[in-house]
Amino acid sequence: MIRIESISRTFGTFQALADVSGEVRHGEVIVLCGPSGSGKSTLLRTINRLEDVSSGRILFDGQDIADRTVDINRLRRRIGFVFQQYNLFPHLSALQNITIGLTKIRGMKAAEAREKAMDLLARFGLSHRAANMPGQLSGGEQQRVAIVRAIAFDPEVMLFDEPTSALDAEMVGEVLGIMRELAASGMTMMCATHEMGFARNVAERIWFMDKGRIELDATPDVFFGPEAGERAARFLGSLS
Amino acid sequence: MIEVLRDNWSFLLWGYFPNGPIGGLAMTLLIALASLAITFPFAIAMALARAMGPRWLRVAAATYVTVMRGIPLLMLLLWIYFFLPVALGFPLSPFVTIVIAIVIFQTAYLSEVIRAGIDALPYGQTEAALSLGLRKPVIVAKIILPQALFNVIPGIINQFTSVVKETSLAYVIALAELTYSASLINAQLMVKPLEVYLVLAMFYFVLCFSLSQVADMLDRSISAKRQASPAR
Amino acid sequence: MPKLDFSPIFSADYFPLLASGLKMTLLLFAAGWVFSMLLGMVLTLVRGIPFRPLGWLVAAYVEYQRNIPLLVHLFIWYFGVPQALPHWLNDWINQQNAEAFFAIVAIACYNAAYISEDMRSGLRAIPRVQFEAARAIGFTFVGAMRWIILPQAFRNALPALISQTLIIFKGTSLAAVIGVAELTYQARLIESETFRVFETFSVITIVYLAGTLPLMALGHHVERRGKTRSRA
Repeated sequence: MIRIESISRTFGTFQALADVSGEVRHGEVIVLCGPSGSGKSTLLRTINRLEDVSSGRILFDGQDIADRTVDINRLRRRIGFVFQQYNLFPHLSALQNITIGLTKIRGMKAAEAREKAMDLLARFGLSHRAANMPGQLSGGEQQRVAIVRAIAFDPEVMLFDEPTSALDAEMVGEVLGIMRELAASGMTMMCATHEMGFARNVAERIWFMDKGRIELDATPDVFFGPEAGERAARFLGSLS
Repeated sequence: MIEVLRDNWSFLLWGYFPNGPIGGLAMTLLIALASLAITFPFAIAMALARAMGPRWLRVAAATYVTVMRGIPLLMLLLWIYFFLPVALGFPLSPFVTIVIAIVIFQTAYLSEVIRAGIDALPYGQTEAALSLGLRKPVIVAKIILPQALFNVIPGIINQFTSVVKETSLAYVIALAELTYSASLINAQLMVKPLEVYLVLAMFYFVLCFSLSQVADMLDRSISAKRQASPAR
Repeated sequence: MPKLDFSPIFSADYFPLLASGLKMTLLLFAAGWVFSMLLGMVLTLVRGIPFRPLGWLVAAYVEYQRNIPLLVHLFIWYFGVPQALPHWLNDWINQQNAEAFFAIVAIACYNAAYISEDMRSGLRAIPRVQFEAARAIGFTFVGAMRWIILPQAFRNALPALISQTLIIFKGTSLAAVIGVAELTYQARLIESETFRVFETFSVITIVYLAGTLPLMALGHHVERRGKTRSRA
């Protein structure tokens, strides 16, 4: 579904991504992990073109996303993106955060959009928060609403950029819960995260990144096992 | 425009002085400096009254500020010019009139600037001083005010810039500051109003722009100093 | 204490003057407000265009307007600009109320500069990631601006815009100096004929306050609402 072919990205003299290649198949859950600055976020952001690549190309469903004829906005509707800082729109309620995209971009009728949004909120236990403004929600609630906002478009793939890193420990669990549910329902997902429990239990493959390269592309068994390699082992050691 | 400037620059700068009364830019600065000097202590007193005075005093000060923010300066100037001499029983010179009007008006605004400076100080400052055993008036005078005033120096300069612009209202009471002087020149030349008033604008621009640049520079260096010390 | 007598002001001779003065003040305010908001928005948008010289032009305009007193701007427009305009245009303007026309132009140009700066601050207060989040959902550039960025910018700028509205309202009083028959002008006129200084000025002052106090209350309300919103 997504094929990444030798992409590199430099910011001035800093090489954020160096010759990264990989493939994400339909329904797969990939976890990106690695030390800070390893390029996990940058990689995710190149896939929905929040960042451009300096060289190489990315194919989404066989089509080069950097191609001129590609409508970037339509592409982004097929890709859901969840930010570390949730980035809900502060001037809109939780419900409106979800419906605004549905009505203004998808062209849904207001009633239809509200129904769909409420359904999704109910599915994830957030209906009582529909009318609240983001400022009145806890971090965990905000992030869950942000995830719902992304799912509302029925995307084909969900990208998570360190979704739990900005949350207090108690709230990490509820967000991971949603992500687990999504994975179980067959959603194609790429998650940059430090949550190794999630990686071990939910991921089909783990991409261990360091200094802009994928050092190891392996199943969780291999990654957490003895053959993982020195750098991976050191990284895992540094986490505990 | 160059001719207008070349022929009248000295009149615009200092009027008939030394062969007559001061006028022009010199008079403008005189009014502005006198007003600011007199406003300053009143504004500090009012800021302190609002920040830490008894309730009745805070309400009175708040009312004063609200009224001054609610009426045009021109209206206040007319009050002082037409009514105050009647109430006091003796006439007031135009210079005194404009200075009184600006002082009464700006005390409200400047006190707000200073109050913001006082409020922005972390309460830890006062607490530290209290735990050292210092008394309230001393704390205010030696610890709170110096810091608050230092921090709002850019704000004070901005108010001074406003005062400079407000002196132009002295035109209405025929005091020969910069604007009135320009109008005299215009009355004399008759056919060059655009040139005359653009030259007038230029004088104000140079003065006020320089002041605001100084304020910006000081703002940057004061902010840098503030970053250095731990905030609340 | 001389006897206060308000009756002449409300008499048939002078009350119409008061009423027409109020009407003119409101006209100056409404027209001035609308045009300065429009011009201010245009200036902010122009500044957003990624072409540096345009940004400098707007910055130069803002500095020009802000560093020169409004009274001087009024003089330049009313006394100076007709000198440079073609005859037919001057004739047309004179057929309308030339004084009011130029007063509105001067007020609009002056306040637009401040308003564009307020809007710019409102825009700058929005973190860049909001724009990214909007685009990540699939909003186009225009869509993101329209539904996500600009609404937030406006909310951020609202207290400053209300404050500027207050300034526009008070600024209308200066039009009296170039002969526009608004409230302050009428105050002087009525006072000079009835000799009731205190009464006339009191009434006019109260009328001004009737306009400014609600605006100030609105400003407080908006500011308080903004503060209680965010929790995280």
